Amino acid sequence: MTVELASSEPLEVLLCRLAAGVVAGPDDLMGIGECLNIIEHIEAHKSTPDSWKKDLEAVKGLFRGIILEESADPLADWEEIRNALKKFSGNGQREAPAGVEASSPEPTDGPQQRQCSLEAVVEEGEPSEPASEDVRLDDAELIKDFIEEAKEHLASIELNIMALEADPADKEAINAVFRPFHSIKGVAGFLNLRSIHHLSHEVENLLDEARSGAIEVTDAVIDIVLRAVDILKVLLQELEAALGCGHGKLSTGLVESFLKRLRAFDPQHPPVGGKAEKPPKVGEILVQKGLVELETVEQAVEEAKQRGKKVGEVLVEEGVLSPQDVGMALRDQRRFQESTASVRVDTVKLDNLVDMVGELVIAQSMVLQNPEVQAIKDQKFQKDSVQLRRITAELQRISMSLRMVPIKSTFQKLIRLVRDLSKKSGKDVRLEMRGEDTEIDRNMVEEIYEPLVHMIRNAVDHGLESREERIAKGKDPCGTIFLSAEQKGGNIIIELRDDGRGLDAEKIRAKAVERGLIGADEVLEERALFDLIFHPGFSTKDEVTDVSGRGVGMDVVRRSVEELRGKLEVSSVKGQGTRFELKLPLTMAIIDGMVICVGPERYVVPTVALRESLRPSRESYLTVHGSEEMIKVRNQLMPLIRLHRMFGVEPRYPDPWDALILVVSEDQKSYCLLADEIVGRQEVVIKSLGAGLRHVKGLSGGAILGDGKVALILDVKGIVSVFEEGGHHGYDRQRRVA
Amino acid sequence: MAYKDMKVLVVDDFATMRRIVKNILRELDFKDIVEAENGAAAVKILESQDIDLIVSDWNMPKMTGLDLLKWVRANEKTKNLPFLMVTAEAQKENVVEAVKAKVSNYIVKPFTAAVLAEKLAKILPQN
Repeated sequence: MTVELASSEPLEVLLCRLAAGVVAGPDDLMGIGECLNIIEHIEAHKSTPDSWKKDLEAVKGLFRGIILEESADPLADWEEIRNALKKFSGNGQREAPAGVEASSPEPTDGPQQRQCSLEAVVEEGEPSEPASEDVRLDDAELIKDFIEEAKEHLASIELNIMALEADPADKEAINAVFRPFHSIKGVAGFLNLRSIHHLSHEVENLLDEARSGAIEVTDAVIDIVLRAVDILKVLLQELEAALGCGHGKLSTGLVESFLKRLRAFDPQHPPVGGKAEKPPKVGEILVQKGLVELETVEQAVEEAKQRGKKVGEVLVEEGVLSPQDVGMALRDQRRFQESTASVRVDTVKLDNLVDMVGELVIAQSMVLQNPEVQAIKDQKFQKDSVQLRRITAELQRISMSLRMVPIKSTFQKLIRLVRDLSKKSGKDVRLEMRGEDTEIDRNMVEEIYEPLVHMIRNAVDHGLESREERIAKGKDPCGTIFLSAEQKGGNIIIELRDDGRGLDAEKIRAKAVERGLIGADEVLEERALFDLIFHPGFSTKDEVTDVSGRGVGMDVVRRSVEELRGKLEVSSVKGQGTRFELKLPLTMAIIDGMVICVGPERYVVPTVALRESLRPSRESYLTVHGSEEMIKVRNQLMPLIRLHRMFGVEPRYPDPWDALILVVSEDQKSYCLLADEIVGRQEVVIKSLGAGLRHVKGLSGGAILGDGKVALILDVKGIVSVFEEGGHHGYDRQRRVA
Repeated sequence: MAYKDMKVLVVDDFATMRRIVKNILRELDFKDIVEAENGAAAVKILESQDIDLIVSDWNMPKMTGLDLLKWVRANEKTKNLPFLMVTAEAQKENVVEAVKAKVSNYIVKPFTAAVLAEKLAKILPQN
């Protein structure tokens, strides 16, 4: 153990102080602490005879016993200490100079070293019987709080264990994983939750050994920790359920079998002497920031090792860096576990706020667009209204940003998934991520998780080849899944790519023909063929595997993406991999829409669905079989959907060549929507429709426009399906009934 | 000083644990209890308020119990404050470290009001 000793005092003085220290008795821990410090000073003193060392060690052992209440007879031990100490002072100097008092102790080693120096981890120490009988606690409420808090802590474990996996020697990461188990154990002990207490206790011990360097953090260790997290989650759920009905059982069997596994666990690597230290990350960060040269850091690392200090400390001491720089680097290093100060707000409140701000913006434009108000020529008024607009716009921007959260949390859950899948499938899979800080509407962040999970499962199961197959093909034996998020205009683009075998167009075609999705001699572009994988019930993999199971297909994935007003597209190169692109609106609260007029009504068409708008020539209008209306746009025939008919309104221009058409694409097909005119492009706040209109196909919501009037937001997919189902004329019936 | 007149600072990063400790302290008739969720927050309180007793957890992020104890002992205003360390069994090396850094006493989780009273009797000057 490295202790900084300022043994400048003569040995005699130290001995006197020691003799003077042992007065108060075994209950006086502060006195004992002082004695221990002095003993360490004596041990390190240059004029201390070697023959004393053993006795001093013995005294320390006795003190330790007293401190830890392990001593069978503290008073007898105390006597023994006094006698032993007398021997030292006899050998040193007879009289203790009066007035030598215990001065404030030199600080001993820091916490970092303390962790490294946990030489012998104390025996398993069967936890003492939790003495909670006479603890009066407001149990139900406390347990509720505990569950909440424990869940958060478990989430932090999952997060931090990834950092640990990346760098198994990272002490801070081990600590960050250790601490939550420790805290959970502590509270569980009080609440008499034995299985939770027991489980977290055992895992804590394991991690403590890892912390002290007695065992290495191998994949097996991480597996165990993750398994423990899973079991704890189950137990917490059971506890939560038990709270509801007042009684319940925790699955102790789960804990038992886990503990059995844990006891049999033998970390496959022999103990290492804590020497496997990589250059500390702080150094890397500093180099990355360009604050120091790599060589300087390497020197500092050496020095830090020799002097038992931290690299940051050494760099500061040598004047290479300011403490602020090091502090910044440390903060960077810990950015995972630290979060900026924040307040938790009920999401309902947040949604209401966003809603009200939306109303405010509308109310403002209603006021400012009022003809009477617009007639006001007063300069001051003009200036003030500009200011008002600026403020409301800023307010809207901020309130929208409140709903935005980084996509990181979703991505991080996927790391775990990939890890598990890789284990299960026996394929080596690497997950690369980019753009985790991209922000996305919080309502969406949960919704995209399932689709992503499904796509990743598919990628691991169907996309990536087995190790042998990859080697045979001359590919990297470890498959890569690449996941990225970025903001592009008003959209979030999430890309999921693998470097596997890619989609097999022929196989897809054969399957589609077999299922009757396409005719045997139908000619389809590759793109269109790939798109068939989104068709309900389509699956090219015959056997059902543990990884992707049967259940949902890609059609469900596409549907859930579309429910988020997003788009999902696939592309693939045979032998090189598959790429999915998920295009989502930034937020669910606002859409970027084209406001159109049909008769007296106005509708909003989401721009995400829109390809182009144009006024067709009379010649491009064709009717097939005398009834089905088509518009020819650049040599492509597209069915014409008359919105006015669908919504039962009288159009101003019934003929397409007088009106406008909006080209939308759906399911690889293009359609033309007939509208009277385009009012303009605008961001609108989406309002949900009342119960009566909510289930009407073709509408996804309502929006209040600048003049205070309501416009319906069109759901292009719904409109197309009504059009396809409802024949060519009768589709307005459904509307009327609704 | 009677317990009810003393101002206690409870330091723990786990909110539930703070509540448990507070409940037990209240059982012993302590009335004035303030909380901090880590050592750094505790230091702020110690600097601005007059505290009579510190009950602190050991394993905390940012500033550990040991760091806090060292700060307390090195600070003129607080150096003589009774400092009770809350620890878990199996963390014995921590206890020895704490004793060397002049902790007043320690208590092992989980504990009852009776055990806490016993520990407090050892470290608080009797009236």
